[in-house]
Amino acid sequence: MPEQPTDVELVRRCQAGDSAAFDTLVRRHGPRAVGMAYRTLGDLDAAHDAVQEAFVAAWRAIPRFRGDAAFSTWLFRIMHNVCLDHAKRRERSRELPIERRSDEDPAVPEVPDPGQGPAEAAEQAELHAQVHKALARVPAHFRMILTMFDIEGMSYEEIGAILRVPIGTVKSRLNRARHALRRQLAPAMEQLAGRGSLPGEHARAEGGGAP
Amino acid sequence: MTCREAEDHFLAQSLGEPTPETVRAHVEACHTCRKSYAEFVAAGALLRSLPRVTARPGFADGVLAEIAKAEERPPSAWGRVRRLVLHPAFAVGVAGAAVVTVIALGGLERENAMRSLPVASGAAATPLPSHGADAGSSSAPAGAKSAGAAGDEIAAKSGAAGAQATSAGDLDTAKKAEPSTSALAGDTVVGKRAASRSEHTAERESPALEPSATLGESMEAVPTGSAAEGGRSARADGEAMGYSSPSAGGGGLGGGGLGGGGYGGGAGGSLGDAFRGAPGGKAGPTDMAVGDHRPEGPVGPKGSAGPAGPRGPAGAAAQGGTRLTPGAGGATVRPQAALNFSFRDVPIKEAIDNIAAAGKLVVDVRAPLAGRPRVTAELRRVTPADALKRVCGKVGLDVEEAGDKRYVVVERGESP
Repeated sequence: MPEQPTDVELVRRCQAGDSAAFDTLVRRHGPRAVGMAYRTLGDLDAAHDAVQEAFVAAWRAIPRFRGDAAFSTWLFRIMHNVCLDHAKRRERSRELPIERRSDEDPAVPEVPDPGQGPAEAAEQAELHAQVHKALARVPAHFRMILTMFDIEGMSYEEIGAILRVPIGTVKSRLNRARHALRRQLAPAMEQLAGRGSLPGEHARAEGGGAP
Repeated sequence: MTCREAEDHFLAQSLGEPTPETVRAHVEACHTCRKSYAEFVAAGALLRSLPRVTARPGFADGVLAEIAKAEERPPSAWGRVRRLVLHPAFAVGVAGAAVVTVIALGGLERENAMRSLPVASGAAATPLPSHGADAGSSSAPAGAKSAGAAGDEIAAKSGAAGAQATSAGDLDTAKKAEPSTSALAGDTVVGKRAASRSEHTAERESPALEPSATLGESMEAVPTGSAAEGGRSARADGEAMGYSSPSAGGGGLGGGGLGGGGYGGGAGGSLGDAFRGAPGGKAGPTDMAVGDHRPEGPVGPKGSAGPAGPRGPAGAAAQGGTRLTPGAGGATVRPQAALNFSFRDVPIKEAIDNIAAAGKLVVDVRAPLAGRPRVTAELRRVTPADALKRVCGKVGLDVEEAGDKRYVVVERGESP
């Protein structure tokens, strides 16, 4: 199997005018970018539009990209700005993120987990819909950073490079964003706690400090 | 340790990062914090449980098709300006022009010293203000020239918009300047010189410093007059403005490392506006801060025309009446610049604030604004005062002029 060209190499080819190289970059980074934009904008169509806009901007600017940061960092920085602009516009025009029904939500897997019965699958879908709605109610810049950290699993350093802020700022912003989400999820939390199924600490080393 | 302080450490604690012992102790002891912490952790877990969403099939093809379409479209006016400004050749031109100007001004100063002309103010012994300022201001337009044809395009357009730049070719003019007027210090000298040197042309000029026209306007204005004549007139009057530009131009370009000169006195207006989308002087040709990219298009709230870029002493200098209007020879007098405003379903208060900011108006609202319909309006090439009247009129408000850019908003039919 031929070795895939690196981003650096592809960028260099783009700078020489090779649009096929950019095609590879779009295919490589587009899916993740759409996922991030979707959680930020709450709407799949808007997410596609925003990411498309970000890629067009990236293509235009790539001759001046110096490679100081990774291509993905640079791209996500552009996308972050585009998404915030889109979110601001939507909020101003009161076009709030569409709160899809769980059965319409593209985030809900079409094929349920084989280990789940229909009842559990429906419950899970409902819970996801609630989280999605709660996320839509926190400020856009919080949505973005939560998506980067918790959903995309980016490190503090990566997020700091994208946002061009120090790591300390990333941490404090994340902390505040998670609190904002927690407050929006309060009703769902009550339900889960009542059923004794409040998710505990797992993944991402979370829980090391559980009291 | 308060609950609030403890909350600040939840993320670190949940990730097992070092946390002060007092925080742990507090969370264990405090019922509220224990619950909050459990919910905090659960919120993270729930987020991570969300399924990944990915792009639709064909997304990449769509992006490439969009790029192909965008490549076919001619770039916007702002896009052309930005590309030019960001072009490395522009930086080289600016730097080269700066060197030439510094040398030329150095020679000029020596020549002036040799002449030892008598001065009117009696303070002739004071040397010229710092070379840095002069060089910076004068060099920018020179850079525009040296950037070639495209540079000329900028010079012509910005000249038409009131961004009158002293070109490198004006060194002759500069030599003719009365060195004695340099008796005053720093930018004040510049301003005074601007005022005094512009007196003979001031009659043709707009009497007051107004919010800048949009960049689009400046572009449109070019064909309305003789570019050459406009350019000459701009240089003749803009000579002084050019000196005053380090602050004005700096609003738009100086921060980007172009030597602080910007395009000249008025450039801070049009270009400053254009840069509002990416503040902080990210425009430097060697500092391609693409990450700060904002999509091209309208800037300012809902695409409304914003106020002029930051103005420092240059603005003050220009208050002497040195703001040329588009067209030849300054024959057109425009008491207020026409701006574009676009409001889409915004509260009337926001619309009023926006117009007041763009037009530098003082608006005294004496009627309740709550409960009024939201405003949607596309206003093209209107004065801020007209815009204010029109949006207020839409929601049953009258606007009364109170002089000196002051306006009073009242309930329809009520006098202020």
